[in-house]
Amino acid sequence: MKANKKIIILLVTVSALFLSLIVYLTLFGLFKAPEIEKSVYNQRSFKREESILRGTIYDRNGEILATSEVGKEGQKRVYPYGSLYTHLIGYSSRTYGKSKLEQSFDKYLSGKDDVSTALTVVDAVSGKQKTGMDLYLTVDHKLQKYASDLLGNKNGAIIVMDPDTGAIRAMVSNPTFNPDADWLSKNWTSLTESNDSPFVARATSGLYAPGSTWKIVTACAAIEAGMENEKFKDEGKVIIGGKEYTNSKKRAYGKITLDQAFLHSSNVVFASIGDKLGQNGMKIYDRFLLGQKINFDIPVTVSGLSGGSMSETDIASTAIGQGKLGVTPLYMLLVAASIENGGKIMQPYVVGEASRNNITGYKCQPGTIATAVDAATAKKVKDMMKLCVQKGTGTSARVSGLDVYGKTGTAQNETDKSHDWFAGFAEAPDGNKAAICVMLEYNGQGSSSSASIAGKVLSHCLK
Amino acid sequence: MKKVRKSTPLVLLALMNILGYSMLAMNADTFYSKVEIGIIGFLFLCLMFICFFLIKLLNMGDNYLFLPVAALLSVGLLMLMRIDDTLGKKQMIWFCASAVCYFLAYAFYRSIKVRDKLFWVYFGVSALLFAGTLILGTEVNGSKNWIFIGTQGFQPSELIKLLFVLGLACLFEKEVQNKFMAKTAKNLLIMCYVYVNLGFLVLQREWGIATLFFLVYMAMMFVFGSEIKIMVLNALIVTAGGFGGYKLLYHIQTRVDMWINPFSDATGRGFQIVQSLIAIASGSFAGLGFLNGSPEYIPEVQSDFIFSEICEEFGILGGVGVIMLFFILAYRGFKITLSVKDRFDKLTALGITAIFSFQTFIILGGVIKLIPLTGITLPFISYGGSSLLTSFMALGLLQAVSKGTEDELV
Repeated sequence: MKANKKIIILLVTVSALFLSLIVYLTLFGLFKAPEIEKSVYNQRSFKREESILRGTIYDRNGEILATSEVGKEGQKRVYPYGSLYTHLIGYSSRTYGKSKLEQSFDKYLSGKDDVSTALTVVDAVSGKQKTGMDLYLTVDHKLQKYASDLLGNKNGAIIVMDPDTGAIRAMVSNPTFNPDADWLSKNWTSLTESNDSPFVARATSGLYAPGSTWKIVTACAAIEAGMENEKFKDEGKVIIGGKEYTNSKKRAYGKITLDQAFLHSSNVVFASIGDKLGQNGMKIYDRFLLGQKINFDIPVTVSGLSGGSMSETDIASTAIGQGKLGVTPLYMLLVAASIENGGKIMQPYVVGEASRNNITGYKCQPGTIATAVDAATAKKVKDMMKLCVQKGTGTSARVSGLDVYGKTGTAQNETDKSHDWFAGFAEAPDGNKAAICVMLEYNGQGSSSSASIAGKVLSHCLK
Repeated sequence: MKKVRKSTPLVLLALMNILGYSMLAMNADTFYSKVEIGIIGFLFLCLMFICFFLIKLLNMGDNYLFLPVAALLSVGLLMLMRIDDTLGKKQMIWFCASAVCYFLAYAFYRSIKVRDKLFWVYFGVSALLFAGTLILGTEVNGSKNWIFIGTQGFQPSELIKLLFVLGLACLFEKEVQNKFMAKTAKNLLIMCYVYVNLGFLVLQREWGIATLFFLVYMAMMFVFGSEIKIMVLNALIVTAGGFGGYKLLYHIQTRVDMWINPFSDATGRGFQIVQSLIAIASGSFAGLGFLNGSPEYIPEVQSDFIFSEICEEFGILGGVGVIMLFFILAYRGFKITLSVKDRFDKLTALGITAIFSFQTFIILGGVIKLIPLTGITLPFISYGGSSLLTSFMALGLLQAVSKGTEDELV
């Protein structure tokens, strides 16, 4: 029958129409919904945030670092330690939005993740207050406080990490500000206009020339190229591509080995090594993840080389941590920690888990993100870093009873006051370890300050 | 082949309702007391099972037709119960009346043997209803399509849908021999009938139902008119009409502009569609869960935009489930259309199936912004007496047609 054939064509057409609804709805859900849900016209977000009590943030010992209280005008975020964690935990304000962990873990804190959604249904049925997940950080509040006190009014960053796992123990950035929502409302304009750029978290978002701490990387490249037993001639200065490189205080060390050059932080020798290795010597940078995005629980600025092609001078300058190189303190910490860890770079993390009533919604899985150098090379550089602290430029970091390893750095910049670096780690007799990076912005000549802070923090952490 | 027990879908349906009403009861006292919720849920389940029982007992043809409808109705009633404190109760009363109408429509179609000779009755009643609306009608939301008797309003255009299909079936029924003149005359007559109907709807600004009528006409013409030229002509007329309307009428411009970019006027003309999209977006795929959504932010949530609320609470997956239920209904409709022998029966079944399919597509496509939004109800789910009564009467007619084919239906 002819009509039936046409009816089937019609059935196919109707099926296609229904299918188009399903496909469109699915595509909408996949690609448009996340953006539309955040629309300012969404009246739900406010209501839902009000109905679900935001989760609490704890340090590794159960100390409360951020919590929410219900008051007359709804919820209020309370930070018991004021500005101490602003650059790690961030703020949560109705007017200015959220930053740092408050933003990146908002899904869990505000109970929008799937597990919390299921739990809030249970809450709704049982009539309990709906709450988001709590965050358990790897940070040690006592250490954070101690490091912050040592930093005092100086601008800069101190980060401490467990080199075996990548767990952050402390992360201090200065300058900082009060994350309290009411305080922010009153001071927002002056904060945004401040010359000190208080919004830049120095530890994770500040880019600086690493100075001589970069010699850790250059030393690795030199060892890989078989230069470990070579004798270098240090006459106090060397000219590469028309630029003159001199040592600190214009010293000349004569014929020295690689570890002696490292110990004295000889610019002449390391610039020459950079020049000798040339483009090949820069291949190691990729393995150290330079120029690559490092995933972390809060946003991290990419450390890398600025500008286009590298001239002979650029390469030599980079070898001593100057020139086009710009790195974050977190990045230098990962470099130092990888030497302790047999050349493996661990994934840094600060949120151990997000959970509520022992039901876990998120759990961090420590892991390796890159292998920078092999264990043998790492061991050799590690020995150099030990010598550096024992009788080189890093003696201020010495702590009796601990094996401290490290490298200092004095990074020249556009002002006459250089950045003061220390990157290293320490091992206690009981097997505990800690990696550290201290960076003091525009601290002037001499590395004693950053190294001595590093020593004190390591001592506090491991003793 | 594994044998599926025939009662399994019914058990699932009952389970879904019991679960739904239990959840409502646990959150009782917002709109209804526990007792009220219990009574409404119990009545609903009873009425549904009485319908199933009667269909089986009276051997009313396709046993499966009522299943997807019962599922859609359950979803609709549960949503209305959680939206506010009156609609659910009212809809329950409408369902009682609709169930009666469903059996009446069935009885009418089975008993009146001259049903295919009543063109002037169908058309006459439509014309009276149209005229009545224009004279006595009240404007609601920009469409003059309501008649109020006391406080109780109803939409005549809903009932006219059925009369339109029956009228068209009468006109298409008489097969014309291969004479050019006679064929043309018949085609023109049908066109006249259709455009008179469309004209009335346009006067009432019922764009959604006008679109629906046109699509139903095209579908019936495609199958039984077998005139490509006439179809092309119609498509041209409507395209020209639509384009002219877009140029001249602000009302239609708004629909199209807000379809292209609702966020350009999100608090004004695009408000409805923006809030609908936000509701669907906040539900994402899994949904926020029954009773966890915010219907108070969705405009017209009880009728045109009820699907957005379903998506918010049951997620896009739940929404797809509802679409699939409608598809099953359409599929059964097509199956009946294919199996039935009598030409008038076939036309009626096709017309009703087309109404269910296209009406669903027009409103769902509108609220998810696949096509421009035209206000029209979602069959069996949206709140509304006229809509529910008409949908059930249409279902009754389809059921009656299926009775003649029961031997061939599987």
